[in-house]
Amino acid sequence: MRLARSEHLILNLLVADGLCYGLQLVDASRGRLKRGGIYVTLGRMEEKGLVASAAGEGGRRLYRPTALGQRAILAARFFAGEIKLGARA
Amino acid sequence: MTRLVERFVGGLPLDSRARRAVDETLLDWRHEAGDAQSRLGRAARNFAGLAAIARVVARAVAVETVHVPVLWFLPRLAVCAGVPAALLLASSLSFAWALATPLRNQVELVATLFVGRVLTFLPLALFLAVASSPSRRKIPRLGLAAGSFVFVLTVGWIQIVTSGHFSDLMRDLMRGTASLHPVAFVDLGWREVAWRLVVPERVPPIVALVFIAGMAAATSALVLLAGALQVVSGWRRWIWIAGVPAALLMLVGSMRTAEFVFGRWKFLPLAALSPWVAAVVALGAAFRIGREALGTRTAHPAPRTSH
Repeated sequence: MRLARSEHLILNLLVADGLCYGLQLVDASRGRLKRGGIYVTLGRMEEKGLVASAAGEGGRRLYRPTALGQRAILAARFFAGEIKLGARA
Repeated sequence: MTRLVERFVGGLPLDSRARRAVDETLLDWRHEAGDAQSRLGRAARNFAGLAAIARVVARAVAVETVHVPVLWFLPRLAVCAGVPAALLLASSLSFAWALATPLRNQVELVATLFVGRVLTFLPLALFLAVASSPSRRKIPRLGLAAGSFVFVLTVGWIQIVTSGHFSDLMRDLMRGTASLHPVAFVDLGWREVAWRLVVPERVPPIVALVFIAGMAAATSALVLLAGALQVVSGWRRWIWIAGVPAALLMLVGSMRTAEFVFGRWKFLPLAALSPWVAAVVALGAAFRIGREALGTRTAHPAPRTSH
């Protein structure tokens, strides 16, 4: 599965932080993700099965990576040479 | 402020993905504005929220514009625009054939006459092409509206250019610098008619630009209205489809009457603003229908199916 740059970044942040609101991801990305636009990307990722969401505080949704999402980011890191075979993410 | 924006985006025909993104952005905006400690902080968060909503909507419009089914839409537009375009072309051809001898002058006259009058039927043709599409067909309404806006603006700009060229050409013909067709048996009569009725008087560029931009806005509003009619069923839809052209004809008729009563120069500002009035009315109707449909969908959600 090919990951877009924004999908790669979101999965990285979600794997590192666990459950997150969209706005938290925007803040954590230091300007690389934009408010509003992130939800279009998250919606697309949810359709692909890379992330899952659940209702959070005040109707806002909390996002987490799925098992497929975790495997996808692991594979992407491996092919980018960020991790070696046998090493843990 | 959020309520006002919520009402606005509530009437926009967004697809489910963009709608969800807008809803989540609105929730973020409310959450952040509620947490603000000072008035300045709230203003900054309101600005950021508004910019985020604008970004989602702009992105949705861009995605829809790219995905407009051109091959499906153009034949429909050709059917709706075919009869008025053929009539216009025939009248332009007869006019040019009677007035000018060299083929080059004839072609120029036909081209400038035709392009210069396309805007008289293009908005209505676009409305009918969208409004008459079957309800089951998913139409990217925002994309079509944005595409129509750009298209009409381009045609309008060409019209401004050709209108000046047409006036110059006609003046040359009237002065006899271009030769007249030998079989133009009503030669002098033609000159008189052409001079009085066909040669457009030059209008100030700002008036022309306001008018053309208004026509583009009115066309995209009509396309949005036509798209919104997809959720209107039965005879109510057909009343809308018949009513909109009738209302536009009444608007044009009242403009002509105003021109006759007030004189051309007093009438010009009114003429320049009239398409904007049509745009606001059509947009209001489209939003109202869109919000009603959204309310109906929310009140009666589709049952979930399990596999």
